[in-house]
Amino acid sequence: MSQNVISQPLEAQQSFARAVVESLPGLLLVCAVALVASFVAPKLEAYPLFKTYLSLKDFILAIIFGIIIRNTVGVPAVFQPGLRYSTIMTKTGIVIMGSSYSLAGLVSVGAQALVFIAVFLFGTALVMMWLCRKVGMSTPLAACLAAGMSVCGVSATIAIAPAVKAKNEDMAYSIAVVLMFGLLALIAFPLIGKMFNLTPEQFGAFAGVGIVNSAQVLAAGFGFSQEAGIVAGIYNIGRVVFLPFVVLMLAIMAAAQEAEQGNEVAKINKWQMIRDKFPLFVLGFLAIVCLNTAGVLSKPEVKMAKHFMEWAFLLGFASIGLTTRLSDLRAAGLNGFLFGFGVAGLKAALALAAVLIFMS
Amino acid sequence: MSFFKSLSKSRRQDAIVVFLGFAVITLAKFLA
Repeated sequence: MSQNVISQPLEAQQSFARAVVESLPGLLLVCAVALVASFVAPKLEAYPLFKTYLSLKDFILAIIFGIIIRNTVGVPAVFQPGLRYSTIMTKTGIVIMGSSYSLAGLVSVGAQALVFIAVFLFGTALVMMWLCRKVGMSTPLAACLAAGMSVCGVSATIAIAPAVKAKNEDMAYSIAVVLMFGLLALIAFPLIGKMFNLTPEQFGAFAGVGIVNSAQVLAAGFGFSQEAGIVAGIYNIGRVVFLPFVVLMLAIMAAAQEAEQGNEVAKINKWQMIRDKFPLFVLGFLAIVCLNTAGVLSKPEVKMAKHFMEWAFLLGFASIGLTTRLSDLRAAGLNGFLFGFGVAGLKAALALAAVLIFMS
Repeated sequence: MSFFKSLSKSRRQDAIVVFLGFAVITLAKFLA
């Protein structure tokens, strides 16, 4: 018995050490891609094309370089274990981002952001459910697509899938459409921002509402400017806070549609769904905002924290690029992309109009 | 440790992320 008690922590330590060693090659590859991106980005600025029109900051380059490596030479199996930390790195960056805000600053940006997000998020989800029904899509696929296009491509699709009994193909379709739109948006949004002469606040709001994948929102925002990136980050936090409520709404709508068609419907535990899907890491962000408001962090410390935040994002984005297989994005097919891009493009155009009207 | 193991995968990830965030802020305080 006592031997068993001693051997359990030992086994845990050994498996932790094994996981660290296995992850090292992949993490080194992620660091190398991030370093190359941060080295190349300032060099590109020397050319008028990249300085004036096609702004490719290190955040966007890290994703692009990662995708190129993954889809040309490929990533050998030895690197794979170290590539699974993209979400942890990006979310850690968001928690650190709390040091860039005081409570007053957060309320001034956040209050407007919450209104914008709520209107676009619930509006997109409702319109998508209605539109998908009109074109004869199955209810689970419609719910996946509505969640993916309104809240967040990957996490919202994964969150809604079990509640509406979606198939793997439904999830793959939704994720493919959202990620592909986001990849094009990474290049197109900064160009549009320059064309319309958007301020950092306007661009942050435009990216935060128009793009739905968290990493892509942040990359596009920071690709425009650091201030725009931080505003886009606030919009991104607002969106993920709404995730459980949108998932619940879509699950109820999908259940009503299924019941209408005479199909069997599982009971929905509303409180449990909201509790399980709530993104608790946002509380870490808020705690650091409170520390900063209380004066715990000095200006040089905030500057240093910003530096770490940028690297957390850069590493996360490089990791996302290295795990993006363009062949997976074929799941949606041409018609799927046309349908998804039509809706996402319309949403982006409305977001741009709203930003120009209400934030000028 | 057993409490940590009893959490769901996404909750564990949230806990790690918050811990790392605070660790980085502490590091920034030392280095600045």
